[in-house]
Amino acid sequence: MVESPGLSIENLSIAFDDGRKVAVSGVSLSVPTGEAVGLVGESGSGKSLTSRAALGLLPKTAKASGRIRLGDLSILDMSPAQLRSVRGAGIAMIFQDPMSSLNPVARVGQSIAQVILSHEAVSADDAESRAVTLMDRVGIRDAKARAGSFPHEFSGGMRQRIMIAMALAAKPRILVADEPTTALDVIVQKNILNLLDQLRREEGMGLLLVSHDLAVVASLCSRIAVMYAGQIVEEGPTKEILVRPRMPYTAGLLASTRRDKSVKRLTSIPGSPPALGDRAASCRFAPRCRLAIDPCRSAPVELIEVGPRHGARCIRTQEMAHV
Amino acid sequence: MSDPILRVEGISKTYGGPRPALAGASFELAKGEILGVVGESGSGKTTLARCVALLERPDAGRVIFKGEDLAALREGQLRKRRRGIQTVFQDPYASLNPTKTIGDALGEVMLVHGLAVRKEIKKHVAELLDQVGLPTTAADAYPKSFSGGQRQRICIARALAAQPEILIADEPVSSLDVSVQAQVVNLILDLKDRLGLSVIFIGHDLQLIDFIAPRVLVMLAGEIVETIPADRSIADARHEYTRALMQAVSKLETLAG
Repeated sequence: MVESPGLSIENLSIAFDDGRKVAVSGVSLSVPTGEAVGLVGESGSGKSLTSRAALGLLPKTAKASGRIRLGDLSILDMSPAQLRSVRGAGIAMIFQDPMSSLNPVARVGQSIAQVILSHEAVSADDAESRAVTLMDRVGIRDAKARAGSFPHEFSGGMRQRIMIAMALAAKPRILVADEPTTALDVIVQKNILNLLDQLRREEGMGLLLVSHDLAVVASLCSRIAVMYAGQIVEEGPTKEILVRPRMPYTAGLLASTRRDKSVKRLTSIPGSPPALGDRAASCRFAPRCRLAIDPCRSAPVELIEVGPRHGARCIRTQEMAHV
Repeated sequence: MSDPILRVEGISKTYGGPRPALAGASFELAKGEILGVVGESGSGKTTLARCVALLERPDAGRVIFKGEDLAALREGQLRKRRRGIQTVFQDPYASLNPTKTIGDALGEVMLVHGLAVRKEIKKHVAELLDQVGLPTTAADAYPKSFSGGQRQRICIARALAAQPEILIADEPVSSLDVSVQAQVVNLILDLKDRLGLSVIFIGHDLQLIDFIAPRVLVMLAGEIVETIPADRSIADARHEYTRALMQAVSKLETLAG
């Protein structure tokens, strides 16, 4: 693989319980700077663990193997102190719930200034005025006055903007956004997504957008990786994924979002995602797949190249073309 | 509307905030109709659900169910009448008692309302589970053994155990995995057809509500700001807010180009 200044995850596995419970298996994914890549999956798919691993933010009980590179740094080999210095300027993250990520007793301007101060040798005054500029940049009106407010004095959408301002404060090369709009109303959601897109273009940041919502991810990302039961099951250019999905699970997700009034019912995928302990050793989607045949149920399936920079973990991709 | 099963007239509810959570909502529900209600957080849609089901009394207004104003009934009478309107909420984890088997939870509803005698409960529970697509063995298990989608099926079965005429589903699929949401939506549509239920389906997803319900109410800040009739497409919505909602949603069809 070509060395890029962005984020590159190689063969990442994450296990709990002394390796007995493998939550993420063999995930490889890269996020070049300036590009937006989407990571889609349902709850328990391993998408959030994968994205947290990129910042060295795994729970203590988790054991990760594989490689995560940020430019020429190896995240999994770094000490906590080294990680702290990388977080912020190298890679930053925003989460679903901005209320629980912000210090409730600190004025938001100071919270943002604190991030600047911990990464750069600037005066407190300079940091505070930069904080105001950042708040303005993320679309908070009357930023100078609002910098003196506390988190609870903002709406959910405004709090998420403050989180984004904090994430931007140390000028990260990669921004990881884990369900950044899920807790927000749709109109606010759209505004935040537009803001993330604008910042990616203007700052040349790489964006890893993690969500359960394929439409949210597709609206911003040029590439999409779909996770199911701890594995990437399909990865490719957004348009290919939407128009010619080659893995039955991706196709099922797409079909279930279709709202065709001429058909009186929604298209659904039978069953539900397997719990951590119940994952098939073969294709993990096979128990729910209507294209599954015996070989799908007898051995693990590798990610197979199905087109230019497009992979699918499926041995029935030929049949997929006809459904 | 000729002879609706439910007529709601000007119901309001204030919880002590600066403005009412629900401000004078009026609408009708026909027998066998599925009515959609769409709104964002704070729009008053859940307060509407709770007041219409009389889980909470509105401060003002009438909830006329089969000709009788439920909001005016005394507690004792209300307990009996309330059975006819059942609700399913967003979070199936919080809605089930973890210490009760599914069979006991469903059986209790029938016993409380005097809808079955004790020795026939087992048979009725099996029928209910079958109706929502769960195996009859589920009766002996506890909520913790079920996935989110299965739990929501159990909540629906529990609502059906009261033999309601109206089912109010408030964001019934919002907390479920995407691949499971469609199953639960389809189940509600099947039950409506099979049992002749009248349904109020509440949610924030305009496209989904529009797919499910021919007629849609749009709520904003405690008020119904627009009613989109069955013969008009949601694309022709008149209220500025409804149009803003429409535009805010990324459609996969459009993205696929």
